[in-house]
Amino acid sequence: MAEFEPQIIAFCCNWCTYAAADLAGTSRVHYPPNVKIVRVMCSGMVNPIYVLKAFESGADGVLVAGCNLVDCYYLDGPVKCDAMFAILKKLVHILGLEDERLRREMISASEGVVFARVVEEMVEGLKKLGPAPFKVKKGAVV
Amino acid sequence: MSRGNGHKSVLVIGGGIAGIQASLDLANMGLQVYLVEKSPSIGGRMAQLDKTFPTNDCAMCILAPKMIEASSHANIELYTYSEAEEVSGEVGNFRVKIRKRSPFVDWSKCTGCGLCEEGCPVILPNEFDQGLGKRKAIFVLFPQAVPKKYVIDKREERPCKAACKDACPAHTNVLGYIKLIAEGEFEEAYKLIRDTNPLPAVCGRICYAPCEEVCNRGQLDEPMAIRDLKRFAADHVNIEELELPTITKTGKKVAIVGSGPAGLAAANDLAIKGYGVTVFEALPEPGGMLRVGIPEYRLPKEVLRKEIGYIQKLGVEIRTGVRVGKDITLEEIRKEYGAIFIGTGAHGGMRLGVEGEDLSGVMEGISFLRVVNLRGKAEVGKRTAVIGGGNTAVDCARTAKRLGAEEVRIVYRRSRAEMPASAEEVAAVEEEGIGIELLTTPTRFFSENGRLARMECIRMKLGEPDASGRPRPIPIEGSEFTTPVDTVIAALGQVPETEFVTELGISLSPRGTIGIDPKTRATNIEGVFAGGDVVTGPAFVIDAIAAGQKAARSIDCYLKREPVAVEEEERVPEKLSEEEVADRQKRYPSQKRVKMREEPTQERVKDFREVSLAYTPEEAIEEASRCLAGLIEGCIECHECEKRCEAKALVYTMQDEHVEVDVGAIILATGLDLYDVSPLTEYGYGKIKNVITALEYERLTAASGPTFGELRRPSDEKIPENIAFIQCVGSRDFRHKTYCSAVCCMHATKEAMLAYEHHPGTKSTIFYIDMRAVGKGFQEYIARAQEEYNVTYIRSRPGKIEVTPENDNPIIWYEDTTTSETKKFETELVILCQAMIPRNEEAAKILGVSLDDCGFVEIPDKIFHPLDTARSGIFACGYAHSPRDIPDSVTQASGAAARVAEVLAGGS
Amino acid sequence: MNLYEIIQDTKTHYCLECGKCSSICPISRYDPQYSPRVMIEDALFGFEEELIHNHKLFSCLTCYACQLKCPSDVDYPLFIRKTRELAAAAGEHGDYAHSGTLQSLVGLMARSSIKQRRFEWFSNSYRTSESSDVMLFIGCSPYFEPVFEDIPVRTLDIAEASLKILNSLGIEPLVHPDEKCCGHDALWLGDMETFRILAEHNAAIIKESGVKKLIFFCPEGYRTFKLDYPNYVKLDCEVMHISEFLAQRLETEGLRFNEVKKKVTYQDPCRLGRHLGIYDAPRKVLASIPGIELVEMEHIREDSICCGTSCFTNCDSYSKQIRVGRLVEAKATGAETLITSCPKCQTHFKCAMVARGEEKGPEVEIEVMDLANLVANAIGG
Repeated sequence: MAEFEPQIIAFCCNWCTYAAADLAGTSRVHYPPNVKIVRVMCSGMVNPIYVLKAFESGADGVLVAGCNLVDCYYLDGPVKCDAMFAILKKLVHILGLEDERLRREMISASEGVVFARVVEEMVEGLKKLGPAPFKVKKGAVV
Repeated sequence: MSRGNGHKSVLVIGGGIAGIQASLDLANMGLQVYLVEKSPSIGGRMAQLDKTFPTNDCAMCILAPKMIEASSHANIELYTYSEAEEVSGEVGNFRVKIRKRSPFVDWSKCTGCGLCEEGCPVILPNEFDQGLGKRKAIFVLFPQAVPKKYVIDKREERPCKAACKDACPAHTNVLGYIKLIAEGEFEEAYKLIRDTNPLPAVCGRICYAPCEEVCNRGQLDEPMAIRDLKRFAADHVNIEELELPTITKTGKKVAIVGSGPAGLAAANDLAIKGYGVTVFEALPEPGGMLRVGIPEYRLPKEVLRKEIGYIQKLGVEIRTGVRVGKDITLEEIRKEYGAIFIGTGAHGGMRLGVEGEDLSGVMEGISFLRVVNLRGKAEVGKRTAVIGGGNTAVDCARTAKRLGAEEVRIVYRRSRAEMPASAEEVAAVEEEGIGIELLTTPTRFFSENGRLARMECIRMKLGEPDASGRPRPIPIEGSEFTTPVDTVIAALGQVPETEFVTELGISLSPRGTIGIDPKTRATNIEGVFAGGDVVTGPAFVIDAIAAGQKAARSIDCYLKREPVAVEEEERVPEKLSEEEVADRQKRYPSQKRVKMREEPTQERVKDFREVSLAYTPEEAIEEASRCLAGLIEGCIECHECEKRCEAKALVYTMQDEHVEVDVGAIILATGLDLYDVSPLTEYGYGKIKNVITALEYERLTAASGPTFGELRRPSDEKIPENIAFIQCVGSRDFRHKTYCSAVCCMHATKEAMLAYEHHPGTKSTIFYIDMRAVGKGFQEYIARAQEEYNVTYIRSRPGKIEVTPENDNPIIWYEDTTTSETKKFETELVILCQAMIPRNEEAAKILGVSLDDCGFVEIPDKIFHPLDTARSGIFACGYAHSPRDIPDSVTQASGAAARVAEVLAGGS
Repeated sequence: MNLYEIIQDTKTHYCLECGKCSSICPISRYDPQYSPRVMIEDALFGFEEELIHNHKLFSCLTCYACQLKCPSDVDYPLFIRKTRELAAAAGEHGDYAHSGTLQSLVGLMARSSIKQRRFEWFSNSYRTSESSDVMLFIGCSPYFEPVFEDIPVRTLDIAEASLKILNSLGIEPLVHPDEKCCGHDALWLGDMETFRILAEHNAAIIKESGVKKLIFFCPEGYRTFKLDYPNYVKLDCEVMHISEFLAQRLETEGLRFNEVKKKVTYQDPCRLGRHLGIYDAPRKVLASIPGIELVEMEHIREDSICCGTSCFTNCDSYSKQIRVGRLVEAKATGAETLITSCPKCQTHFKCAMVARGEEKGPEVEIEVMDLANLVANAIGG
């Protein structure tokens, strides 16, 4: 039987983390292919429902990443993101999900290496945890 | 024995228009008809309507001739206020037991004059006006009732014995006026009191209230505050503006000597009976002892003046300052007047009989009060002693206190228990800081510089009872003592002054009082009558009033040359038995008497202001509502109607009667009831004032209704310019009545037209589901309403009525089904076209006919025998049969009559 | 199930098209274009496509105000529920409030067998027992707290108050760690698949626990267990709302409370009131607390007005207007506190009071409190 390959959905902000992921690619920094990036304009717009939908659709882990507090293109996006993420974490916690399946990072545009490392760490962790416990709802695909 | 010939007689149940029509048809065919109606009059629902659809004729105008015809038809026997109770037998041979409910009025005597109704104190909602108007416990259903006979609505036994009325010397209708006060009818209450007592305001203050002593409520907790309530009623009516009765003059004259309560009562009653009355009064002011013997703080002069003023307005002439025997002789009076009544009271004082009594500073009580009452003042010293223990002594002491005496004390020879003054008066004395020295009597008065300075008294002890039944006071030898005093008022009692009557040879008793025949109140001299204190010696106001009234009745008989009517024996006030007390205590929670407030003691002794403060209306109603008699519904048996009825038609002991009749066939025409729409909470009926039902609306527009035909809305009596009707309220509704009530589309249209006719320009809106104008000319009627009467029809069943708090306008929420838009509609009055339900359950049970799911009479063959019930020989018509309007009901009634005739003639 | 069967089942074909429903409907009052009558008309005309894709299909509050007054006994809320099943099958779901977070959580809960961490809030001051005959259903309360953190709503306070009440009556209830959402919202949104999974799960754990009585402080859960579960699963235990339970105990045990001086008014939750006919029990409980003065609003009992939104769907400006209207009514009574016995009513009312920079409307600030909390305060300790 093939080794379990976790699916990670990463919500990356257009200005920093998405650029970081791009940089990782152009810089030929190697990172696992388990991550699927959803580009959002700002990490502050990531609503809990995005994350929950990701799990509903079969994700094993979700990464929400955006600018650092000081260099947000929209000034307070990371603050909003943090607030949202705090609620999300509580909800997912009550739901019984392992806290490690959810990760919040601030990765600036120049930190391609950091992005790669975060993804690597997550994949390693998720491999140990195994697949997420949700049965995929009919018709949903990651 | 039963009546009727089975093959030739018919029973019709229900006296509405269908029952009347069927009865007339049958009677005209020569058949004997028994028309049984549950209510006291025939006429049914149609009588309640203002106008009838589709001709817009006055309902009563076209119904009344039919009612009269039915009541006077030789072949129709009316049984109103009756019910069929049992039906046995079969077609051609039914035997019916009819129960005639007791109306407590002998209908063979009742003329329908309505005098009884005027006096009845029990006010009930008038069912005929859908509860919008009021009626009395004795009533006719409506002015045009057929038969026009009164009925007493008596529902339960009075829980008390009305002992108050029996205890009152004047037999005032106590329970009656208390009931009126409880209903908030204060002026009516005063008038009722005045019928038996011309001085309610006076008695409301100073009566000794024998009624309260025997009040049956007193056996449960505390007696009713009857006197205080009387005062309240008197205080809440403007005596000076009270209307006067119409008096028919007899042309005969009566003289009255003395204007005290006895004289005034006699004068009042005689004046009302049409006699020319002249009152001779020796003092400068009328009122007798009420004027000069009772201090202002107990009975304000103004109150007395007003009540005497009313008696004067009745035509009584009062000549003050005329002393009979001095200014005019009895003989002279006798020549001019047909009869004389002597009521001069007891104004003579009694002497102490001790040394120094004639010193300046020693006064006699009754003359002291007279001086104060006439001049408003009198000299009293710093230290004042009042000798005596009666009410006069108390009045003197309290008066002296108010005149500025610093130290006032009452000196009485017996102990407190023997004091004749009322306990409350004695309590008031002590409250006001007046001392009471008991078992003491003065023996001598000493003067200094020609004025009273000291008084010598002796202590007493109580011995064996004397002639009066009280223990005799015996002086204790050697107990004399002297005490400084500036003024002594000796209030020992009063005696009549009767020397002036001797000129006519009127005989006197050894006590100096006038002797009379207790039955006729006449003296030994023809045409001369007497009453009050001058006959009895000092007594109470209400006794004097009763004496004056009785004398007036005798004088009336004497002058009419009739024998003096023998008065009924006085009834002894009855007590409730122990079992009855226990029962009443269970039924009615204990409730303390409402006390009248009083002026603070500190303030009131400074002047002659009235001590007791009258009840507020709320307090009076609260107190009046304690009366046991008033706690029952319906007639309280105060017998006011009996007193007023000239035909002597009242029979309180009347029982229900049973009659049996043999009939060949029966017609059921019990009509309809109205469905209670209050469970349809969305329409707020009963909660929102300006939401009414259609029949209430009919009563508001009807000339005989509670507003005399003025269409005024309930909240503010404003004439509405914008009204709305809601159809199918409770009809065609699976939660209420599933069927269509059949008449609402058209009666709402008619009522909208009526609004316009009452006030041209009125805008009506009718919310309907579908317009059921199924009849000849109905559609045209609706078109006319739209074109000529400003009526708009909106297709929608509203779902909610709210109210604008500022003006009480109802707001109707509805979906305009033509645009599918939910809207609100503000209007001034909403009329709910409530569902109608058959009223035939009881009758159907007795007749043994079955009903369908909706309660209408079941008709087995709906096509060819549409009026035949399941039981052979019994037919149905009108609303009991199925929902229908008046013309249809009448048609059916004639049909039913024809079927009856057919069956009685031997058909099937 | 097809539209024809829905019409038969809900007696829609009895409709007289009188429009009484629309004039009662709290939504139509603010949204004149919304007409239950027209929905039914569409169904009767067979306009199935129009109907199931009609955005307003998900506006109905299923508050039962219209149904209780319908002269023809059309079960409009049931008609809506069943038609939503068709709509859901066609991919329609209305506008989820909170972006659908709550619906999503329910979906995740339904489609997994992981152990929830439902009871981290739970303090030791309450006594519970795993072998109790009585179970207190906690429902979605643990999830509501973080979602409505900003309003703020403390639904777990109601749970705690309920525990305190039960403990004071000497009952140590079972609180089940594996309880899942009752499925109320899924059912009323037409998501039958999710509802069935949840119902079967809950029925199974309850059966296994062997409890005889199930107590709810949420009328939605109560209604779902009482009226809907029996159509899908077998449930061998008595279900009760805490207000009913208290009213019963007031009678049997002569329960006495401490004085709480408060003038209050009471909101009848739709599910407890119109759905289940329980109007008197909460009022009886209020009357039994000394010092409590109940002043009723204009619309009460079966005429009560819904708190304005249901199933966290189509929560729009009309919904807010309904809530504001109801709060204005509550304030007009002069009461200092609006008592309700539904955590969702409380949530929706409190939400309406959070202005969030909108235009200033009428004054609607009033304390909203659950009946259970009031009772817990009156128990003291």
